[in-house]
Amino acid sequence: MEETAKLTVVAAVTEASGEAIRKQMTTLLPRLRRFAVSLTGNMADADDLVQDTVERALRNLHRWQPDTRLDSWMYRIAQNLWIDTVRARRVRQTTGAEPPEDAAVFDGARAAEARLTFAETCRALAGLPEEQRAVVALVVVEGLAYREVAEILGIPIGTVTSRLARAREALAARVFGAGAVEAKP
Amino acid sequence: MTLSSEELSAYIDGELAGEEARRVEAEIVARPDLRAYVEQQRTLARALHDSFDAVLHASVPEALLNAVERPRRGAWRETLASLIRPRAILWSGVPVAAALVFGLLIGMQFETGGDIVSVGGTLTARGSLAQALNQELASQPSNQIAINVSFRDKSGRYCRSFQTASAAGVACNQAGRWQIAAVVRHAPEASAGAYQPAGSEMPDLVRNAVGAMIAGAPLDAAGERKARDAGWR
Repeated sequence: MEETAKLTVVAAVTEASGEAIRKQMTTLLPRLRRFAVSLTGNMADADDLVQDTVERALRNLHRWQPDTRLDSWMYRIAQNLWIDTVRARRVRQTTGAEPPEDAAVFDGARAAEARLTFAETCRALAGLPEEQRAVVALVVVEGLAYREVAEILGIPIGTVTSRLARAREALAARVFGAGAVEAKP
Repeated sequence: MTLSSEELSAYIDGELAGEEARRVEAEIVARPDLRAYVEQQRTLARALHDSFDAVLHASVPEALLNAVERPRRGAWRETLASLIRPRAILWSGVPVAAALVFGLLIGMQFETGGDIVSVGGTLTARGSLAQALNQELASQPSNQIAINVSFRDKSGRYCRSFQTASAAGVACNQAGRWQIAAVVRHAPEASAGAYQPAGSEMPDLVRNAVGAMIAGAPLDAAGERKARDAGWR
């Protein structure tokens, strides 16, 4: 009887939090899609990635620590799934096609009121190594703090900082071409 | 004093504070080349960020919303499988939750039309719920009370998860009576367009309860029929 009563309590707690988590997950979907686009470079792959992320998250709900952030946990799942996908693709395509080197998006004159189109940003991000792209996506696009990003990616904050610094130089070179300003300490 | 590209990057992202932020800022102000760098990087960051605004504000495809709200058929089996593996059960917060459950159970007495009653302090199924638990097969859903899964618990009793129009839970057969092991108020939403047969989705509560109770695998169709014909003993 004791056991029965306890089980009811546990179950009720889980049910209440399960519903709350689903609601929270739904509100996270737009941000997850944006993150997924940063990683995959196109909307179709991004939506597939988000779908897989949601399914994996729901299957592993018991592993999520309720006192931690759901968004961080889901970003991490998405990132891990994407890395798996990229690895699998590399195995399949032995001749990895490098993204084409195209001319700088901005010349000096346009640089001040710079706007990038969706496609231009995707191309610029595609030129980055996977590990740098994830950091740019989380810090620059998603607006997360370095500490959160370090937790999501499971790397030290110092690594977040150095990857970001390298990514910035690469992105500037790609977007501004010869007009890119280099940091010369 | 010189600045590294890491320090500049952290400055741009607002990651520096206090003395460090002041030092870096002073250096940047004093050096036109660093000012130009920071300015360009801020422009770049803004452009990258803004170019994805459309994604953030676009409506989310139905398929993704459904992935959250209505996991695809069969997904609960995987959840169940993951729960059967050893895991930590959330026991903390029991006193707080007890009040909640008390409320839930009181409400249930009205909502289930007296199908769940207290017999000697134990919640017990009767009426149409007891009848469904005795007769219905999960493998052959038929009426308003759906049985999702039948299994044996760790003490060897037969248990079945059920779903009525207003409640969902797990009941176990104890000497011919169906004792309620877990129950919540649960009204599956009527979804426009797609007809969802009763019991196609188990609430997380029930999945977790089953996962915590089950010994071995759920009964298959033949096992379930055999157990029913033997009176669940």
